[in-house]
Amino acid sequence: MMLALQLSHFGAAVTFAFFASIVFGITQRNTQREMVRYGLQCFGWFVLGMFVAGWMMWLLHH
Amino acid sequence: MEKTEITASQTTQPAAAATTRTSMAIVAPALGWLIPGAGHIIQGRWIRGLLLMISIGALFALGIAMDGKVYKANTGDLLDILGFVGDIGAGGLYILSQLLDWGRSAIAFAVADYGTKFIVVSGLLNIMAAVDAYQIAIGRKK
Repeated sequence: MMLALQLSHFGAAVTFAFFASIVFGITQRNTQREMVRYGLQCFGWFVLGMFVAGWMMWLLHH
Repeated sequence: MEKTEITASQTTQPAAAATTRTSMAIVAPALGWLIPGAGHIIQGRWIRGLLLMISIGALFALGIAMDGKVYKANTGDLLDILGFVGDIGAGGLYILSQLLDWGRSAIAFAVADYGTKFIVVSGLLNIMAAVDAYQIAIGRKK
């Protein structure tokens, strides 16, 4: 039986954010420059949102 | 007389272009759904197509590698139905996963749950990519 890929919560979320941002950038903007800009923006928001959600959960837990 | 000829040739060209555009408007999203990114590649958007192919393919492959669940057609729980709708968006990758029996039928641990989401989202992103290929085909996007 093959072992499943074991990513940490953080690793999985960053990987997800990375690939999803590429697709968002390409599909949601018209020029190449805008695509790169929007892709980076999306990635930044994903990561920021991840930290905010993480701290929110920590606060709710304690 | 001359004026009439010019008018006739002018009307022929847009008609031919419209036919090409119409057929591409069907072929590009259909091919893009079947093979992620291919809808962009056949329209000459190589870099965009390859990036879409790599991104969507990687999300799907990582989902499978993380032992994610692949939903089958069902009429049960609403979330299972929505999961199937998301998965089927991956087109050829979903068909391949069914043929080769990839993925689990139940989620065994936390990382596998991430894997399940990766697979569903890759399908949804592929639908976005197919719609984008259609927008390019009809000339609404460059």
